[in-house]
Amino acid sequence: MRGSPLFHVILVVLGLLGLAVPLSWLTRARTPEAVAPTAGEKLEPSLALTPARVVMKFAHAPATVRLAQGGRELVKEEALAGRTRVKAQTDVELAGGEFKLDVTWPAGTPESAVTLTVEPDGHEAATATVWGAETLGEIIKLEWRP
Amino acid sequence: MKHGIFSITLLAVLLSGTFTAAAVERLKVATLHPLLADLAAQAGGERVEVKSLLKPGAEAHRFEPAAAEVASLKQTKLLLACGKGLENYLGKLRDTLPAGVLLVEVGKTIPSIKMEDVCLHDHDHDHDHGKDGVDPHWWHSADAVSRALDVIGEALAKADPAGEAVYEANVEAAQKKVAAVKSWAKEQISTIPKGDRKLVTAHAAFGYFCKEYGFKALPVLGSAGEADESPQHVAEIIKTIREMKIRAVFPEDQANPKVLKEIVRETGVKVGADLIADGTSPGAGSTFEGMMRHNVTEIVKALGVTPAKK
Repeated sequence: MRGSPLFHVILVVLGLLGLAVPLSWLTRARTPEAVAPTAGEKLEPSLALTPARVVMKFAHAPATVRLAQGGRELVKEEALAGRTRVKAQTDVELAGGEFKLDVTWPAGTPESAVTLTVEPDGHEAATATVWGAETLGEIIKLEWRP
Repeated sequence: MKHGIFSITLLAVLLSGTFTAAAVERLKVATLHPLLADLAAQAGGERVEVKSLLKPGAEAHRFEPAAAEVASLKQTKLLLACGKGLENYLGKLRDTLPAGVLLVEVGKTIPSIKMEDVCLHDHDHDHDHGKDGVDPHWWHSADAVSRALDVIGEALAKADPAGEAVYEANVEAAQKKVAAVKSWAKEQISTIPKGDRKLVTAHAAFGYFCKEYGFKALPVLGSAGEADESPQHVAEIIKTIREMKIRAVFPEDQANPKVLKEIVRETGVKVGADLIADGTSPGAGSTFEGMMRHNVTEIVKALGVTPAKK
């Protein structure tokens, strides 16, 4: 061995420091982390979200339609061009859902009906029919059989 | 001058050819069932060119597309399957489809019906009611067909976004026809006393129909028409027909009538006309409307108390 002893000591210290960093990372105490539900842990079936198709059928073509679910706007149509069927997609909890429906019809339209149907994938549809004369603002509660 | 006229004429011919080619460039759609082809044609209208790999008259439960048919789908953008286990080869087919073909299981979002939920007899017996007991014949329900139309319309719009408004309008028109067929069927079936709404058929294909129109089902064979000719099974059906005073039994256009004939011989029960179970009968029998009008008319003829109005 040649060279200064101090140089050798510095080399050994640097080597030890190099090992210390990964060893310390591997052996440090860990605080438990919040664990997300795994695929194996099932949510209550009625609370799990299921994709669903929303269909509104109008007896008379409306002028404007707005549909919201829990504050989320699903439909906002102001140029329906005579359409009597409007669709949207959403997710629902099978335990039940609340929909806010606002409709206006052109002036002179007689009292008219809207049927709201929500079809969760793989489940029976739930339907409600509401009536309005030129305007309608209704909260509709639907539930499905899980 | 002559050259000018010639050039204009040539240009007009070339342009008209270009527009014609654009007009006939339709979305190619293939289906694995003729009923789906009917629905896709209604939803797609002039924008689509639809072909069914399963031809009318063929056997839905035994069909599997040949390699040449799969290879012929190169230009196809959309392939529609019934789902619910009817096409048990779908996994294999998915792996062999040419690139760019979108495969959609139309029945996937339709709520499944288990035959045991609508079956008249108890379920100590062991005849088969389909994969996991699920009846795959969802096309006997107007509500299910209505969902199927939406699924098809959305799939067409995904494959051809420029046609979305057309597909929506076509689906809306088709939905009205389906609703009209349902209300016609309900009116016809109202002439059958509730106690007589028991449907004895050759195979377990009418679960959705029974649920939608308030019948109980008594199928002789399983959901794929497979035979269970055990003497116990036949004896059980004969006993049920006698005990429940069932008025008629219905053969089907494609199911084996052997066991049904034996049951008729033993019980003397009336035999109705052949029902269309798999929706593959040639002509109108492979459309939802044609199939439903035929089946409801024949069921009401055999079980109704007043002559059915057509």
